[in-house]
Amino acid sequence: MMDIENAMERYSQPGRGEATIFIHKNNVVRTVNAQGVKIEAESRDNEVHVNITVSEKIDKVVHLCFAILREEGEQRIKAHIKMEDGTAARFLSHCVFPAAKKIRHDSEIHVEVGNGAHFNYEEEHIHSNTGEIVINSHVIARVGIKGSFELSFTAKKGRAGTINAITDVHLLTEARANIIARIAAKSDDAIALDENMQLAGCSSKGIIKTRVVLREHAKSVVRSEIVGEGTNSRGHIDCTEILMDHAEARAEPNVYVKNPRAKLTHEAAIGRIDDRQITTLMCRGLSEDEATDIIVEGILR
Amino acid sequence: MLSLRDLSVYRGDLQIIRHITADFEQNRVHVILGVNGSGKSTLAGGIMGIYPTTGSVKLNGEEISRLPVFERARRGLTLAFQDPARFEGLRVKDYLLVSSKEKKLSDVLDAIRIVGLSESILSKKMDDSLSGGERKRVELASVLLMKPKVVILDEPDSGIDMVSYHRIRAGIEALRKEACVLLITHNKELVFMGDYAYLLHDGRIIRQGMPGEIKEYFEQNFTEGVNNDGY
Repeated sequence: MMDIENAMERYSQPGRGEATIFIHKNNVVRTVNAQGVKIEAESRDNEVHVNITVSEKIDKVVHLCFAILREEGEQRIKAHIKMEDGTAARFLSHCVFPAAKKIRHDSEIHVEVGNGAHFNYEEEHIHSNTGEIVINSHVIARVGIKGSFELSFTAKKGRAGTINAITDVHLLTEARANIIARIAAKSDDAIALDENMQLAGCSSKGIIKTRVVLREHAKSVVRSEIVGEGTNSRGHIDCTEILMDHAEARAEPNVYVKNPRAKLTHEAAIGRIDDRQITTLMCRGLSEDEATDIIVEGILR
Repeated sequence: MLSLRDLSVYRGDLQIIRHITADFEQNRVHVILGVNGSGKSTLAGGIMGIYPTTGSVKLNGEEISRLPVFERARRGLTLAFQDPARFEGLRVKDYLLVSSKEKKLSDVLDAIRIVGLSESILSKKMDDSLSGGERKRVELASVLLMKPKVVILDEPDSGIDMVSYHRIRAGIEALRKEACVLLITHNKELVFMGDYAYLLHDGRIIRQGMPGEIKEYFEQNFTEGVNNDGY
């Protein structure tokens, strides 16, 4: 419970100069603006509309918390984040559903990254162990000239439940994007990732990286696509899915080159944990289960 | 310390190691020399419990041949692999702490110092960001941290530069002070690191004796991995 307590404490403390928004179910509990970060949020029509504007380079982290602390509930978030030209900010987003028995969280986040702006968004999910949770997430981003976009989606605490996550990123000239998803699923969890990156601008570059570990009867489908349109654009898809027990996984890496001077590559691996890794750790005195846990922790780090 | 009696080791249906009997004593380095394909790594894996065996393996008088790998390791037997595994995401520090009995960072620092690595290696990942020599030295450091009673080093000098070679020698000397070392190699020059040597061929120990004697026999009968006298 310490992770949850720490996360919640962060959102309940006033001040510290960090921009913060805390949404429980479809209610805006708290918003805190900070130098260079303006947050507006309101609840209407059973959903929360959030607008965040970053107008300068921010040293401090912007904290977002989307929570349902009760066993049941629904949450719908529509957010628009605007990074003005030349700005930079790091967002830490906690999606906290620690008691979930019947929870649904829908989010649609539009991100505009201005020219020369740097956007870093880390979304961590903390779920209960029941698995009765449905996450529908859609991130749509446009990255301006020489801008950068970093998106990290992590769900490795508690049961993943049902996750449908879609990411669409469009990059202009010399823009950079890095998308990474790390998910641990078990029991009958079902993961569907649909990651799309359009390298529209010249010399734009992007990586889609996915790490999924599936146990018991969990299933996953990971579709990743990069489209190379810009001259000298470079893209890479790197997908690893580790299967244990009766789990199933499908990976569909697609690279679509529309410009002969673009270069896209991909690698996808689905399989069980390398026996040699387990044997090595067993030679250090770890049981097979202990060794597996350490290897999985490394893969998802 | 470690006793093998009529030990055979199998890979699938094939009997690779055939009826080996030997005793390995504490504070001594025992070199097991053999050409490629002689069964050295299979012997190491059999002793460690990675491959199925028949016969007896005793550690300090306790029969361990039916124990799984990790139980043998917990009793003080360990193996450093010829080509250490890569671990995505796992930092060197985390890997070494796994091996450290008391999980103390000071012990980890001592171990990497012995094998000539700097503290900065601890934050590196156990993947392709380590060179071959660094990986070998990290492997040896992890073995040192276990404070084993018996350690098997499988080709510790393969694929490394001279700096790494000398550091690994230092690590082996450190192990000798506390443990029984089985040094498995195809490199006849390493024989002199041992107090006693065995020549393995086609899964059998065909000769044993003092290092100089074994090296001489090896040179006379095996040239560049090919035996000359019918073995």
